[in-house]
Amino acid sequence: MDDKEIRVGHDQEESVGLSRRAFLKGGGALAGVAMLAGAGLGLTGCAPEDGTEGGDGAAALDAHYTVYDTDLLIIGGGFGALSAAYQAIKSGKTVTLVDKGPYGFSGGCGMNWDVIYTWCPSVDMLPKQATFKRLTNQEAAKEAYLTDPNADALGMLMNQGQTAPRRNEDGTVKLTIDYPQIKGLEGCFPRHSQDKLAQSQMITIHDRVMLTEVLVNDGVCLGAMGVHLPSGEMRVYRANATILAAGSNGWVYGWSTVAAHSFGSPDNTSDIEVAAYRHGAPLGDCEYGSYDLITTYPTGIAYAFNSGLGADANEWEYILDKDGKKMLANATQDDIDRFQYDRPFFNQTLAKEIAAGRGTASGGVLIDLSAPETVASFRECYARSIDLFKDNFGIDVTTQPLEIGFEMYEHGGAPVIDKKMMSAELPGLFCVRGAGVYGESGGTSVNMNNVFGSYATRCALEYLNGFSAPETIDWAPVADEYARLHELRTREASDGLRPPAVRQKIQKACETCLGVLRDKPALEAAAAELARIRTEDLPKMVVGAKTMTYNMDWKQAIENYNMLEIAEASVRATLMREETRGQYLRVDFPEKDDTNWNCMIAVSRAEDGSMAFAKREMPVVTF
Amino acid sequence: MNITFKLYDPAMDAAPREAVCEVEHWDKMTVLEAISAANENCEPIAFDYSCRGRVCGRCSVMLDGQPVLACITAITDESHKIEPLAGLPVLHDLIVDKSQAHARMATKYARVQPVALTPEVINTYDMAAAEKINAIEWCARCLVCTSVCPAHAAAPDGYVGPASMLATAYRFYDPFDQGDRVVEAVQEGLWTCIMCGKCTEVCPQAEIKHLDYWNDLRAAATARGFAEPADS
Repeated sequence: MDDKEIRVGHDQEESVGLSRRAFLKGGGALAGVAMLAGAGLGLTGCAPEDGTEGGDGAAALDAHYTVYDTDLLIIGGGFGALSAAYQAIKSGKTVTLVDKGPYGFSGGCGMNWDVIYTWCPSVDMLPKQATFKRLTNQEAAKEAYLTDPNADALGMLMNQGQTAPRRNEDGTVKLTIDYPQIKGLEGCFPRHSQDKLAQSQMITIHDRVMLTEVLVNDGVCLGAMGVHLPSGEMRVYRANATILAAGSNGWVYGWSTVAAHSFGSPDNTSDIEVAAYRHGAPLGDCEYGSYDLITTYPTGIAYAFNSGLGADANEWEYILDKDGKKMLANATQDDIDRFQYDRPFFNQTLAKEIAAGRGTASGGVLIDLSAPETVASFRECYARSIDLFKDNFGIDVTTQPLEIGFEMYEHGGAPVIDKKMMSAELPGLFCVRGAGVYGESGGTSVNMNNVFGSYATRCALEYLNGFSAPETIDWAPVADEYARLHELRTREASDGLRPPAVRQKIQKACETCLGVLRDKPALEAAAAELARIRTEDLPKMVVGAKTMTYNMDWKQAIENYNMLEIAEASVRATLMREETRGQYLRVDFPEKDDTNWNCMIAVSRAEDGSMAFAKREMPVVTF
Repeated sequence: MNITFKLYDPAMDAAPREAVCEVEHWDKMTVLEAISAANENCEPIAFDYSCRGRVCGRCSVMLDGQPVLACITAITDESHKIEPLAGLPVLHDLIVDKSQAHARMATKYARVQPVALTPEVINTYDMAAAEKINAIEWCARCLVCTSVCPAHAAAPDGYVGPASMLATAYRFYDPFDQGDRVVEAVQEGLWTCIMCGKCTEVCPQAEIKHLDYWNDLRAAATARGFAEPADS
C-alpha cells in the first residue's frame, strides 16, 4: 500500500492551462514555449501571476517534496511522544512518528540513561502534590490524570519491556521514592519502551527528519513539513491531527565549547513550537526553567548529567562556596527538610548565596566529595562517573573540590493549549507539553509527559471523530517553506557568519540572564543583544557548505531562527513578571506576588512581527 | 595540534578526501571538542552528538584507527587522525548510517512476552542475573565494539557482532523474556566469536563484561545440544 504521493513543482492549474509556474517547472519538457524566453522571463525576479503569494525569485523554484499521508502525526520521539504513540496504535488510525535524530528517537529520551520514573499512586493524592498546585492549565491536568489508562505505572513500564534492574535482596522491586503521594523507580532506561513500540505494525517511524513548519490551511493545522536530513529532501506529512511532543529547549541557555548549560540535547530547538507561534498560536511559560547542579569541568563534558557528578538536595551538606566554606551552614532543620521536597526553594536558597558573592567566577559552587559517605550515597548514574573522571581525565574527585553549576534541564516555552490539549488558535495541533501543564515548575517531567501524551492522543482521536478533510488542499505554503529553507542554504554574504557563531551569540546572551538568578540590567541587555542578533546577524548568516547531504550548518541555520524567538520570549517574559516564582530568583523582585502574577504569561506574534505579551488566567480546579 | 580528518560527501565527492586542520589544544580537551573546533574554525565538518555523556551513542568516530566515543575521550596535544566509524555506510563526513543495525537491535531487545506481567511476577526476580542485567542496561548501542570486532570483520554475515549479541544476552538473562535466546545466539554467530575481548577493551561502559555473557550463552548452548562446531 503506497501512502505517498510524489509531487514535483506542484501546480493545481496544470490541468487547465499553462500557468507561469507550470512553464517555469517544465524546462525541457516544454520545448514548445521557448519563444517566451524573449519576454524576459527568467528563473528569478518573477512575480507569480497565478494569484499565489510567493517571494520574489524564491517562489519560482521548483518545490520538490514528497507527501506522506497519515491520520495522526506525532512530532518527536521522546517520553511524551512514546506515550502518545502507545495510545495511538490502539486506535486503528494510521500513525506516523517523525523524529529529528537517529535511532528512531532522540532528545532527552534518545539517551540510554537511568531515568527515575515517578508517578502519583492514586488520583486522590493529586491535589496534595506540590507540582499540581503550580500548574496553570489545571483543567487539562485534572482530566488527563483522572482518565489516565496507565495509572499502574509499574505495570505499564514492565510490560513495555523494562526490567526494573534495581532490586531488593529478595528480588522484589525496590522503589527509589516511596511516599503516599509519589512513588518513583530508578533504572528505567527509555530504549526498552522505544524498542517495543518500534515493533508495532500500526506505526510508521521516520527518523532524521527535521520538521520546520506546520501546514496550515484556513487557520487549521493539517500536518507539518521539513527536511529529511540525510538527503536534504523535503517532506510533507499531511495529517488530520498533529501531536507535538518535541521536548523542551534548554539549549538556549548558555554555551561551553560543545554544549549549552543544559543536560538537554542539541535536537531540542523548539522548531514546531515557534512555527505554531508564527501562525498565531501564543507561547506560554517561556520564563520558566528547571535546574540541576552538575560538574562544569572538563569543559567537553560540562553540564552533562550522564558523565558528570551532580548535587541534588541530598548533597546539600557538601556544597561549598568559592572559599571552601559550607554554603548552607545556616540552614535550619525546616530548611533541610524543605530542600528535599521543594526543589525551587533549594535552588533559590543557593541562588541567594551566589547573589551575595559566594559563588565561583562562573557563578557556580563547589562540591566536596572527600567524605566516603557522600560518594556512597550517590545514585549509581553519578557514581559511575567517578571512574570516568579518573580513567579518562586523570581527575580524582575525592581529593579536590569540583566545580558544579546550574544547568537548565527543562524549559517552559510551549504553545498555549485548552483543556483538550489543543491550540485554540491553531486547531488540529495538540501539544503534549503545552503551556500550563507544568506551569512555574518549569518544563515537564517524565511522568507528566506520560500522562499528557496518552491524553493528547485521546483528545486528538476525539477531534478526528468530528473532523472532515477540506475539499482542496492549498499547497502554496509548502512551496513557500521550500523556498525559505533553500534560501537559507544557498545564501551568500560578504561578511557572513556561520550558524554555530550565530547560535553561540544567542546562547551567550541567555547565559547572563536565564539562570537561577535573573536581574533587570542583565535581562534588558540580553533583550537588546537578541534584537541586534535578529536585525544584524541573522540576515548575514551563511552556511559553510551548500550540500543537501546531512548538512549540519544548514540544520543549525534553520534552528537558529527558532532559538532566537524562544530566547527573546524567555527573556522578555521574565522581565514582565515582576516577582519571584518558579525555580529562579528575580533579584530585583525577590518575593512571590500572587495578587498580580498568579497567572501565565503568553506571547503572541503581533501584525508587525513583534512580540506581544499578555497575562492569561486559567481556572483553578477542585476535586 | 594538527588533525587530519577523513571527509566525504557522497553527493559531491568522487571519493573521501583528507583535510588537515590546525586546532588549538587545551587541558583535558575531548575529541568532540576538537571536532567542533575544527568545524567552526577550519572547514565545515558534519558530525553528530547529543548527550556528551556516553549514553546516546551518536558520537562514535575513529581516533587514530581506534573506535571511540568522541564526547568522553580525551585528546592529547599531538597529531591525530579522525575518521568516521569503520564498517558502516558514510552519510556525510563523520556521520554514518546505523539505522540497519539499530533496527535489528531494537527487534532483538524487544522482549518476547506473551502475557501481561502481574504484580507477583514482576516482584519475582533471579538475583543471580541481576548484576549482568544491570550492566548491559548501560549499552548505548554506539557500535564501537562491533566496529573493532575481528570476527565480525572476517565474517560480517556470520557473526552479528558484540552490540547485537548483547541484546540477545540481555533478554537471555531477563526472567520475564520467553524467547529462545540460546537458539538466537547460536544462529547469530555465538561460536564464530573468537573471544578476543577487544569489544570490552573499547567499550565506553565499564560495567559491561562481554565475555562473561558469551560464556554463559555458550554453556547454555552446549547444554541444549548446540555445542561448539568441530570446524570452528
